[in-house]
Amino acid sequence: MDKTTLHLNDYKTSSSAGETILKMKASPLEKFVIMLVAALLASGITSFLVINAVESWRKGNFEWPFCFLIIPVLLSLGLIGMVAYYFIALFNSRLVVTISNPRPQPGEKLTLGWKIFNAASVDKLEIYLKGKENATFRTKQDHKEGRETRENTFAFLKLLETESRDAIYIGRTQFAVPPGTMHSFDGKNNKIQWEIVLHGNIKRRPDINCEYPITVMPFDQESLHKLLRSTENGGENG
Amino acid sequence: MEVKMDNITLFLKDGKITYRPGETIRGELLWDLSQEVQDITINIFWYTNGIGEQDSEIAVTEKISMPLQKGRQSFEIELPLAPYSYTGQITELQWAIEATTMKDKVKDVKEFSMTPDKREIVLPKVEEKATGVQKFLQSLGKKRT
Repeated sequence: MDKTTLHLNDYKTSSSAGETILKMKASPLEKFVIMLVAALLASGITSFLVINAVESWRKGNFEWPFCFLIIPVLLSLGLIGMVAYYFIALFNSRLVVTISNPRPQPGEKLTLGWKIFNAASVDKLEIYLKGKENATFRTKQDHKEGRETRENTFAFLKLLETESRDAIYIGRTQFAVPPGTMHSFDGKNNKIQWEIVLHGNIKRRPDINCEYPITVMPFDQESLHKLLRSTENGGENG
Repeated sequence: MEVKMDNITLFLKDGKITYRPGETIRGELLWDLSQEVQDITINIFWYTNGIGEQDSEIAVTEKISMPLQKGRQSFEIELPLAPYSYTGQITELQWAIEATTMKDKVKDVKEFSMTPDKREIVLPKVEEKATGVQKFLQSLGKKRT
């Protein structure tokens, strides 16, 4: 395996025939920008509250106890810490993940490929197949209506765990979406989602954490006939 | 004075309640109405239950036009290939067949499940490995304890 000649763009065009490059759910840059906006908003509001409280205190008016400000201050500090975390994560290794079929049926054998650029800092690589159900509902608090989403993970299957340098850098593994499970479902408020989760452990730095959605398809007519024949044969044999 | 009650009843062949995607659902419809109606509609639809707001969709519709006030008719309708019925921890999806007159004045509904091997799909709750920020927060918690 030639480690020096492959570059990100080369890999994008040279992935084997029939393989699809998976798209990340949220890139490190997107995560950083979302966190930055949240931190700026929270810090702005908190600063306003703190300045007002200090001025009132100087004038001798105690509009509310200072202890109430601890919560927004801690929240803002936490968000600033998260911004720093995601900023450092921007300089993590870049990776490309491919799959033999991004729209598989349950039970279908798949090949997952990966390549991590500047993989030297990654000590351990873990890849999982995750299935989750997702429900969105209305909430009402203090006469304000909002929407909330809850998730439940129903499948979390380890596809790979390696500490080998070569295997971390580039590799392939085979797996199948479990048979007898639910396909992806995209209702307006209720969803079933499947994704590949890739986790790279890096010492003293933010880890690599990437999620790649895939669409698990229901069986087509032909596959259903095959399944029916196999269960009938199984029933006769059993 | 005798008050006549409108009545529509759906019978699924052999009392079946589990089907495969694409399978034909067979049954018979019996009705006895106090007045004439334009048509009787048979809908096959799925709907969700659980903590989320309900989603639903009619997948197949068949109509019996200009029915007599009293009658019976058998039907055969091919089911779609998806979505499958499932039961999760926070959501579930079920299929049903309903027969109704206009404006839902009289109707009968029968629920059934639709999965490839006719076995119920149950989605459990599993623990996932903490990663990234979750892992960092968990390690802080452990250090404190």
